[in-house]
Amino acid sequence: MTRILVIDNEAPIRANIERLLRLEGFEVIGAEGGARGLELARERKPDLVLCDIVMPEVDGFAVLAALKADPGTRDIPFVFITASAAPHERAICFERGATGYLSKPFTLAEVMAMVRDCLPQRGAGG
Amino acid sequence: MSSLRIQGGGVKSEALRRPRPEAELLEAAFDVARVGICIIDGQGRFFRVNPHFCELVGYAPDELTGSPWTVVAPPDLLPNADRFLEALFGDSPKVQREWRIRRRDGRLFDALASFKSIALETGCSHLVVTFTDITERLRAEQEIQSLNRELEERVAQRTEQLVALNAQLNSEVAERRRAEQAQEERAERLTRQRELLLELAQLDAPDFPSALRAVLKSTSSALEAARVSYWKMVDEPKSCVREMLYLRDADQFVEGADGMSLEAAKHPQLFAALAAGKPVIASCAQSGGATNELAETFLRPNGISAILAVAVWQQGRIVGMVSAAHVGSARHWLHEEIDFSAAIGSIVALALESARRRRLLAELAESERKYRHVVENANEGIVIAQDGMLRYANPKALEFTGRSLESATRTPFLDMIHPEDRGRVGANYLKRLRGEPVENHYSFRVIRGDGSILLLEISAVAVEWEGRPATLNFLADISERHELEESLRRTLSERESILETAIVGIARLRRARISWINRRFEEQMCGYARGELVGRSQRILYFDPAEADRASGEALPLLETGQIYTTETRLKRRDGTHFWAHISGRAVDPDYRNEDSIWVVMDVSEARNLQESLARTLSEREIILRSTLVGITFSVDRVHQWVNETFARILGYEPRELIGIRSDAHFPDLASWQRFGDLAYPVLRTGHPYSTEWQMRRKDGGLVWCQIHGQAVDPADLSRGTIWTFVDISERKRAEEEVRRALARERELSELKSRFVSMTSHEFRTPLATILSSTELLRDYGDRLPEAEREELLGMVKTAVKRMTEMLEQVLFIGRAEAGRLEFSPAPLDVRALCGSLLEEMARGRPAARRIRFDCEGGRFERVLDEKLVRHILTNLLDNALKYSPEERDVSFRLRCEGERTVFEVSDQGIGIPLEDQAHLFETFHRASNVGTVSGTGLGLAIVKKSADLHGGTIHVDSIRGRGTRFTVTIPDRSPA
Repeated sequence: MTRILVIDNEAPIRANIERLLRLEGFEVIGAEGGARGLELARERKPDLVLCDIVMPEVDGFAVLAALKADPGTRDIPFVFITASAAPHERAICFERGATGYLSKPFTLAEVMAMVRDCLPQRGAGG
Repeated sequence: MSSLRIQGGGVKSEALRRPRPEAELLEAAFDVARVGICIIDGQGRFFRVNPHFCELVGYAPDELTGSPWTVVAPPDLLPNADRFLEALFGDSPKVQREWRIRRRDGRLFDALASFKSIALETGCSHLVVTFTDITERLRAEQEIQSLNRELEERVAQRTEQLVALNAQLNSEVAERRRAEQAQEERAERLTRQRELLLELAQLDAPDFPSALRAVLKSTSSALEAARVSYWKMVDEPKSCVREMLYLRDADQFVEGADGMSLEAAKHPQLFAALAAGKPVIASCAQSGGATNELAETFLRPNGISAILAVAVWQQGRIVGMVSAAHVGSARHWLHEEIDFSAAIGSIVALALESARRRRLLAELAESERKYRHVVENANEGIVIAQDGMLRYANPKALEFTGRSLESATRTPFLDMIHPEDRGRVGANYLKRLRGEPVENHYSFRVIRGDGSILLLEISAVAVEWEGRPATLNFLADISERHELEESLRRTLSERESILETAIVGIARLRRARISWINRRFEEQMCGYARGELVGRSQRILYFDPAEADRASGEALPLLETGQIYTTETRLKRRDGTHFWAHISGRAVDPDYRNEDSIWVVMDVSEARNLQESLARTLSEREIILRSTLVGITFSVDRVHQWVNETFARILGYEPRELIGIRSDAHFPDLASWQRFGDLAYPVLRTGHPYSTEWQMRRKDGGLVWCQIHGQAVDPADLSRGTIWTFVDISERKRAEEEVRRALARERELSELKSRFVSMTSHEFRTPLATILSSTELLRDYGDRLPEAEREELLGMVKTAVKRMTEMLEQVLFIGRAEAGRLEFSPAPLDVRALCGSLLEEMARGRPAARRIRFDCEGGRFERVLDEKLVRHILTNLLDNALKYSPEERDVSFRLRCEGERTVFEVSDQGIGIPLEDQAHLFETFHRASNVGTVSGTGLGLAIVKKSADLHGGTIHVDSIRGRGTRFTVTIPDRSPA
C-alpha cells in the first residue's frame, strides 16, 4: 500500500488531507511538526511526503534538507504545501529539491493530481 | 698457455682460437726484451714471466710460473702483500713506481716497475708488470754525488786561497794609498800658504774688524811673526795710526787706536817705500833706509828684531799698512814671505772694500726698507710685471688677487685676469714694454683665488727691473665704485621706461641742476618738451623762488644724513601755471658727497582725485555689500576684518561686534572651528574656492546652518586674507529634514504594507484551505463519511470562518482606531468575572490556555470599563504569552484592582522582545525580529495599545530576550466616586 506522510502544524488542514488520502486508498501518516515528520519519514519510509513550509522550530525546508542528506530518504518524492506567498518561494522550493509545490488554499482535485503526479508509477493503493 | 692472451675486449672468438701473426711477433719481443716482464693472475700467482725477468730475480722460468708473486716481494711488504696487489689491480691503468725486489739469493735490488691491470674476456684480471733494474743507475748516481762532494771541497779550498791572496793584495793597495796620501799631505802643506791667501781673499767676514782679525792672525801664523799690526793712514797719508795688533804668543788682539803712530815727517823713507808699492823691510840686524829710520824710534823701543810692512791700497790711495814684527832673534824675511805679505796688503784692501760695500749695502737696505714699508702699506696694489709674470706684488695687490705671494708670482698674470679683459691687458702690457703709446689708466677684472671677480683700475708705467724691461703697475679696487655706478646705470636704464611712464615724476639733481628727468615729470607735469629741462637749475621747477630756497635749506641736512626729505609745494609749469606737488628726495650717495639726489614728485591734485574716486568706489561697494542678502566677511588669520550687515544679522550680531573678533566666536565649539580650518585652508591654498555647509552658533546660542563659500585673496599668501560668503540655509535644512523624515515614514509604511500582505496571505490562506478542503470533502465524499465526521468537518469550517472573522475584526479594529472611529462605551462590570469567563473561553478553543495561572488581588472588582476593549487587551496579551513561550512554562495572569486603578499583568518565560524592537512594539504589523515561524498578524499589541489608550491607561513592558516578557496595563478608575 502506498504510504504518504503529511506534515503540517495546522491541525485542520492536516486532518483534511489525511482524510482525503485515506478515502482515496492510501496509507497515511501525519505529523504536526518538522521534527516528528522527520522521525516518521526515517522509520516508516513513506512513498511520498507532503509538507508545510512555515512551521515552528523545524520548518519545511529543514525537513527537506534532512531527507535529502539521508541516503535512505533522499529519493522520496517531496511536495510542499504552503500558505505563504513570499516571492520566489516556488523557485526556491524546486531549487532545494522538492518534487512538487501546492499553495493553500487548494482543491482536493489539485491535491490528488499532485499526489499521482509525484508518486512512482504504480497502481494507487498498490 | 701456449700463447700470451693479452687481448682487447672487442676481439672476436675466431681470432682467439688461432694465434695471429702479430701475437707471434709480440711473443718474440717478450722473449728477447731487456726488460723484465711478468704477468700475475688474479690469485697473485705468476702466469707468465720473460727470460730477462728470470735473470733479474735469479729464478728459472719454470720455478716462477704458477708460484705466488710474493717470492720476489721484499720481506717488509709480505704482511700487506695481498692488499698491495689488490691496490695494484684496482689502480689507474698504468702506474710506474720504484720497487724493491728480492732475488732468489735473498739479495734486494731496486727496479723501476710499471703495472697495468688487464681484464680478460674470461672475466679474470691479470696484472702485467715490467721491471727495469736500476741498481746500476742508483750506484752511478751515488758516485756522481760523491764526486760532486769532492769537487765542492776542492773549490772551497781554492776559494780560501784566493781570499787570502786578495787580502794580501788589499793590504798592499792600502799601503800604497797611505804613501800617496802622505805625498798629498806634503803637497798640501806646500800649498797651505797659497790656500790661506785664497781663503783670506774669499773671507766673508760680517765687518772689517773681524776680517782684519782673521787676516792678522793668519799672517802671524804664516810668517811666524810674534806681532802683526794694521795701521790706518790719516791726513792724506802724513801719518798712520795703529788700529789693531795681534800678539801671537798670547793669541790676543789689541784693538782701537792705542796712540801708537808713525809720522811721514819722521819716517819719509817708510812712507815713500809704501807709496812706491814696495814692501818695507827693516831689521835691527841690518842697516838700510827704512831700518835706519825705524830702528831707533820704533824697533828697538818695542823689542822688535825685524819688521815686514806692506801698504794697503784702495782706489789708488794708500789707506793703511800691515806690519809683521819678529821679536827675539834676528830674522831675514824670505822671498815667499815678502810676496805673501804683499798679498796680505791686497787682502786687507779687499776687506776694506768689502766693509765699505757692506756699509753701503746696509744703507741701501735701510733706504729700501723704508721704501718697501711705504710700498707694502700702500692702499694701492703695486705689482711689477716682467716676462708675463708678476715679479713683485705688495700685500694690497695680493689682497686684490686673493692669492698668496707664491701663487701670484708663479701664475702668468694674464691667467688672473678675466678672460674678456685679457686681450686688452695683454696688448697694453706689450705696447708699454715696447714703448709704444698706450692708455695709462683703464680698468679690468681680476679673477680672485676663490673665483670671485674684482674690478681694478690700473695705472702703469714701463720701468727697468733687475736690468730688464718691466712694468710697474698701481692697482685700485673700483668694484664698489663700479658696482654703484653700474647699478645706478642699470637701475636708470632698465627701469627708465618704467620711470618714464611712472605715475610719479622723477628727477635726478646734481649740484642743484637737473641731470635726468622722466617724461611724466618733464612733459606731462610741467609741460616742457622732452629734454628741455636737463642741465637747468632746479629752481626753475618752483613756482615761488622762496619755496625753492626753503626746500633746499630743509632738505640739505636730511640728504646729508641719508634720510628722505618730503614736502608739499607748488611747482611751476612751463606756461607759468602751477600745481601742488608732493616731493620727496634722497641722496644717491649716502653722504651726499656729490650733491647727487633723486627726487620723486607726485601731482597731489591727481592723488586727491584718485582718493576721492576710490572713496566713492569703496562706498559704492560698501552699499552693495551691505545690502546683499549674502553674508560677507573678509578675514585675515581667521579674524574678521570687515563684515557686512547680512553676515552679522545671520549670526545675530551687530557688524561692529564682529570686527576684530576671531571667528571661533560663532562656531558651535572650538573643535568645530578647528576642523573647519583644517578642511578649508588646504583647499584655499590651492587657489580653489572652498564651499561647505556648516552649523554656526548665533549670538543668542541658537544654531544656524550656513552655506559657506570662501576664496583666498592670494592663495600663495593666506595672510592676505580670505573672503567668505555665508547664506543662511536653516530653512532649507529644516525642509530637507522634513523630507527625510517623510521619506523614512514612507519607507516604513511600504514595509508595513509588505508585512501586511505577507501576513494576510498566510493568515487568510490557512483557514481558507481548511474551509475549502472541508467543503469539498463533504461534497465529494460525504456519502462515504460517517455522520460524526461530517459534523466535524462542518465544525472545522465554522472554526476557520471564526478565525478569519476575528482576524478581519482585528484589521477592521485597527482601521477604525486609526481613522479615530473606535467606539468606547465603558460600563460597570465585574472585572474578575470577566477574566474568569475569558479564560474559560480560551481553554475551550485551545488546550494550551490551561498553562495560564490566574490570580487576583484587591477588594473591589466592580469597575467601569469597556468590556469589548478589555477583552481585546487580555486576549491579545494572553495569546502572545502562550505563543511566544514554551509549552512547559506557565503564563502568569494577575489582576490587581487597586484603589484608583485596575492593573492587568501578563508575564511569560518565553523568547522575550529584543530591545531594538521594543520601541516599535505597538506599531501596526510590526513583529519582533525573533518571532521565527510563529504566525501572527502584528496587530495584537497595536490593538492592546489603542484599547488602553481609549481607557486613558498605560502599557508598560519589561522584557529580556530569552528570559521572558511582562506586560503591565494600568487603567485609571472611572467608577463614580
